[in-house]
Amino acid sequence: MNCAESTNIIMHISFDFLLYIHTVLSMNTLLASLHKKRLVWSAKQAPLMQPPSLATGFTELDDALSGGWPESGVVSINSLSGIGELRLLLPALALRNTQNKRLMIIITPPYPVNAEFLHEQGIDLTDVLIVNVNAHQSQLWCAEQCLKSGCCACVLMWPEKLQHHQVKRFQLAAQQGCSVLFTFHAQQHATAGLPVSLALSLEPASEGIKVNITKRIGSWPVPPFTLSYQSRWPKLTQSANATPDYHGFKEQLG
Amino acid sequence: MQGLWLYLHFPQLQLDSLLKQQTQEEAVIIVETSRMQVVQMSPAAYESGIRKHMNLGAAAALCEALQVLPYEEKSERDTLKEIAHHLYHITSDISFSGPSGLLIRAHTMLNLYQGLKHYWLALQHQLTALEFTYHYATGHTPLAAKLLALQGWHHISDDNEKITSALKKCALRLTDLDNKSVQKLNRIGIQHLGELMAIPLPDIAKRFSHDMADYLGRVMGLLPHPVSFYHPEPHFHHYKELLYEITDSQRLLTPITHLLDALERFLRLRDKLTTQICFTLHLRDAPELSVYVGAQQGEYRAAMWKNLVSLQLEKLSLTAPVTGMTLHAEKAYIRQPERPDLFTTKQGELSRLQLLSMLQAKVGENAVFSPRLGNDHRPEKHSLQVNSLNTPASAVSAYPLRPSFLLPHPVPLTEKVTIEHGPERIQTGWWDDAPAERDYFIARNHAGQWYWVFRTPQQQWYLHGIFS
Repeated sequence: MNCAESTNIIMHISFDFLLYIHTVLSMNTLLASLHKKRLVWSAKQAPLMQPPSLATGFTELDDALSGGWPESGVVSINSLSGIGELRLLLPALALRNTQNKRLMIIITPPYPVNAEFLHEQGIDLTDVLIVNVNAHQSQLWCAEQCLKSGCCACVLMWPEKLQHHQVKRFQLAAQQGCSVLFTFHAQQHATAGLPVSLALSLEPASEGIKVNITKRIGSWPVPPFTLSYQSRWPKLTQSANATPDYHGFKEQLG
Repeated sequence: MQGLWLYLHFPQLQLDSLLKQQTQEEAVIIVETSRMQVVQMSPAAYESGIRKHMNLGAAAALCEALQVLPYEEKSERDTLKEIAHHLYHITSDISFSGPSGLLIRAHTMLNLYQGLKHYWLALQHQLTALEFTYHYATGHTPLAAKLLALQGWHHISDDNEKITSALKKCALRLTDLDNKSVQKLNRIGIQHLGELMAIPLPDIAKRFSHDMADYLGRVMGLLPHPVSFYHPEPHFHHYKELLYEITDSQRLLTPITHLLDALERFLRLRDKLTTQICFTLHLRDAPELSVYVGAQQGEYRAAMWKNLVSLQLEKLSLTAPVTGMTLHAEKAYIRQPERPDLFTTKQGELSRLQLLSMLQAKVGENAVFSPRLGNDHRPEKHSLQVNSLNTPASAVSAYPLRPSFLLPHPVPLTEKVTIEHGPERIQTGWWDDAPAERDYFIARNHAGQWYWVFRTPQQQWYLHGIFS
């Protein structure tokens, strides 16, 4: 092998090597930019996707949510008021309240909250705080402070409209304070596209409540199902064979 | 045993406390208003040629950007009280001498500090932190210490000879003798205290006046000099004069922080907490404005108070510029050690009472409450609201199935509903002015909402609650 040939080979090798390095580098920058845009999911994110959960107190709902409510995060609930939507949350919240004595914050409920109702659900009234403030910005401020304070288990609020960045802030605050924010919306599409951990859509049903899980991070969609309130609140169900105890028949009023 | 006294003279208290507030050098002078003479001036004013006892006119001619403030004896006395307050935990016997001097009984403290040197180091450390200009000296009598401090002797010593020789060199104009006597003594050739001390006291009394002999006797320790000592106030009360008038409520936070720092020092030294502080803002040409800030959990830290105060200031709108402010903290109680639970899973940054105070500061005290049960069968009197988390829940048994929301006032039922359950009769309250006789039903409208409705004896239907 003469001298010129060996130089040629070395040159060839070095060229291939450079091309390789170039490819790797551009791959890396591409990957980094994709990561930045959150378009790549890597397996190490898995534990974040399925946070520890909180039993709801309803077996079907636990199954559908694979464990229960998220331990921390933002849960948005689209529902008409007065169809039993608060009752869906209360068994879990009461359990959590008795376990670690943290506060339950209710920010500007649509109507005054009935103390008897909370008491009847087994919630210690000294752990409930109601904040009545009309300004939307103040409501958001209070919710964020409560979430991140670490002394609140959950915050319930009825906001008008939430922005993408506001929900992001709530998520961070909730993680910091290990608390859950439940937001109630009357409009069906008020929370579409927001980065919430869980979104439910509720509809009235004769035997309880119809639940449709519209969004849940890290899971496949579940078909809508109906939860029965028959065992917990039999009076709030319309069972066909139940006989009304007033004059023996249903009275139409209007 | 011969006593030892320490005297601290603060020549420019008012100026120093003003200069602490500002960062850049400015020519500021304090003018005594009756004679219009400069009594205190900032280094910048001194550089432009202004000297003590100069006329206001002359001073104004020397410096164009001159800031002139009237001398206020009261503010100096307040500052002096604050200094005495800080020194009190180093030394026990402090007495005020005029608006700008502190007299300290040193000999009783020497055993504790094992010598004058250590005692003075401890005092000096405290004084340096306060950033006030001061002159100091020791003497065997209160008046001797005072004279030497005014002279600017700057020696701490218990050496009798050293003190006496320094005392003898003191000029007579520094003494408490009135101008007329000083002039009289000067005329007969007595310029310094030493020359006067050479004359026996009975002769001075005969030749000059009884007062002069009395004064001299006190300086030399031949006559007793009773001193009344300072006792710290039980409450924190602090006034701060502002260098500029402030119209923007957000800018008030900086001077407030200084006051809160002082409050923190006050409370920390006593190991106490306070639950409420009161700011009184002194406005120009308008009545004073009081701002109450509460912390449900007692607090002493300035940073925590600052958070709460800034929330209050957001809501405050000023009608007139603020010229000064007072911080007052009434009730203070002994700090209890915190008892966090070892087994609670997650300890947050804030306790529930701290959170409550923060919410109250932001949205107002009446907007935050906790539900409680009242002892009455009428639903509207059964569900109550209290402002404090600490109110214990009353042991009232609940009734089965009650609505989640209770309307503040029952509204006439206008919708078509189907009755699902009922009735439940509530007939009570005949003893007061709101008797109730109602038949309650659980009803459902065609949209699927669960209502709590009632019927009056007059067959009128009302909506009272919603089952959520």
